[in-house]
Amino acid sequence: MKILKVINNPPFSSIQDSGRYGYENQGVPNSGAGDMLSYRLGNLVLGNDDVPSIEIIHGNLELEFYKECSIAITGSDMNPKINSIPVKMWETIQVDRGDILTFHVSKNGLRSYLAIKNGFALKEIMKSSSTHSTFNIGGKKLAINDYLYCDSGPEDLKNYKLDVYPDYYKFSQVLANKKKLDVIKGPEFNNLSNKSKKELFDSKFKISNRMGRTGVVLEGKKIEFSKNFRDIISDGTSKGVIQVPSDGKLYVLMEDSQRIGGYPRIISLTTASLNYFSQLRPGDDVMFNLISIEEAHNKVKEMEIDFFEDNLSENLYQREFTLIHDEKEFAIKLGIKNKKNITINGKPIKLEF
Amino acid sequence: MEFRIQDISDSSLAFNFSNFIDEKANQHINLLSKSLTNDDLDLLSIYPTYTSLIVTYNPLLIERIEIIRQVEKLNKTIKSYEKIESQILEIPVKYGGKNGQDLRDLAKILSLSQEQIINIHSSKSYYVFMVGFSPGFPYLGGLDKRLECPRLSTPRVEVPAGSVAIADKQTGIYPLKSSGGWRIIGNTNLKLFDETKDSPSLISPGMIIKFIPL
Repeated sequence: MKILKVINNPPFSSIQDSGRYGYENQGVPNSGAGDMLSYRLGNLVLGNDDVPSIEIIHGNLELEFYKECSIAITGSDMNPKINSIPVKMWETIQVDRGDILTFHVSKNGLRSYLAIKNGFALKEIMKSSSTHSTFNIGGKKLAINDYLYCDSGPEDLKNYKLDVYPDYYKFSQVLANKKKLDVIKGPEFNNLSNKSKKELFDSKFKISNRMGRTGVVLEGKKIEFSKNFRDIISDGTSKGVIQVPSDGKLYVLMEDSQRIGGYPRIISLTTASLNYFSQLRPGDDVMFNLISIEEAHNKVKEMEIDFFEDNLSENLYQREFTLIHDEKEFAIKLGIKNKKNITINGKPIKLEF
Repeated sequence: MEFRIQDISDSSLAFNFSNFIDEKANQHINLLSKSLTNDDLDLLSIYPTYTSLIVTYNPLLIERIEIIRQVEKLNKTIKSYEKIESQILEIPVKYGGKNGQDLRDLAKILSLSQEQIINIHSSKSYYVFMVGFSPGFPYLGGLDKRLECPRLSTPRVEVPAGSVAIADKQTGIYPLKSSGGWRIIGNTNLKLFDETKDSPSLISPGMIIKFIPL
């Protein structure tokens, strides 16, 4: 069924799921959500499996709903509003037919996710609905007057909210205070010069303007190799891998990059830290912290426990606001569908029409 | 065959079998990659490169050590330098003219006639080491030394789909329209990559390719 219409031409918004795997032997990149954590949390709130959502990069997206449905907004805060009224993130939002949902410029990160109950329905290409940003393969880039569809499924009238979620606003502040992102050594790490081995972890690198879903170029200290090191034979790469071509710059491979590359792979961002890295914007600083592969795997497991075990609470009230009448304040809470669970100053009231 | 283990990332392992590009090592990797492609292990993907077998995994679903044990076990069951029957794929090519806009210049650079280049290029068999760079793009071995040439000094913004090209010690085919700096000598109208198919790439690692002049 038709669920919504795109009203504007966004800078880059596309359909993404957890990615396209199993076609690397045919040269097909993985694609999928850049910040997998926020993408998965959106589906968790709605009780979905791994189903397609919208990834909004750089903000500025306007949507009109054609049917009532449940949605959740996660990732960076793009000041989302429904009919000009701000809505909360990281929890179920009930949307009515005719509602206009807008995303503005991001306040704290790069990517926001819009999950919808049962996911967006799209023809799968190579077992995935993910969009590749440069090859014309799979998924959908959103453009003005596009319609998106949805499969109908069991409706759960309960609303949920996450108790714990990644706070990207706080994160960008700790980054300024030299919070480091975890990396592990890559196959060519030992070929770095001793000076570069040290500088890689002692100095700041800056996200440049040359960035997108295929890769991110970092500005910073020039990285050099030991004198006897020669070029490598093109070999396997992965998202999060940081390569260094002859210009000595760090090239971070992202979700749409190739799975074969010819440049030395010196370090790679861990699965857990890649979620945070994917939210960085041009001008943001980043520092690296070297950990072992065992520690990296432990951190993935910790992340799973922190965010995906017992992280949902039932959310009885969807909208909270204060009304002032005759100079008196009334704290009003509205429940699901605005009809049940209404309280004024904490006391439940009954409305009869 | 012996291999060394490399962690490309915390979810991607390389089993590296050689320090140089070698058809026999690559065939071994290719066999290994095919015998691992059962769903015994919960892996995300398995693919060969020139010298490595790459395995990607979700560390929540499988322990790294379990993958290594399984690859070690399978590796022992594959005899080194086992003779492999490769599938041969014939690719019809229109050489020169509009289809191969660099053939005339290449003839001058190599001091060969256009016909000689066509004859040399189409008389060889080319082994597919791996597919990558772009969807369906084959890395081929076996280019005749007489055809080795430098890349274009300025890469083209748009190389037409199906372009057959040469650069350095390699020859290849561009399955999709893309940018590129190889010298275009011909074009095939064979659809090399069809995303709607179960197996979208016509060319897969381990195949032998022959170019048939039209």
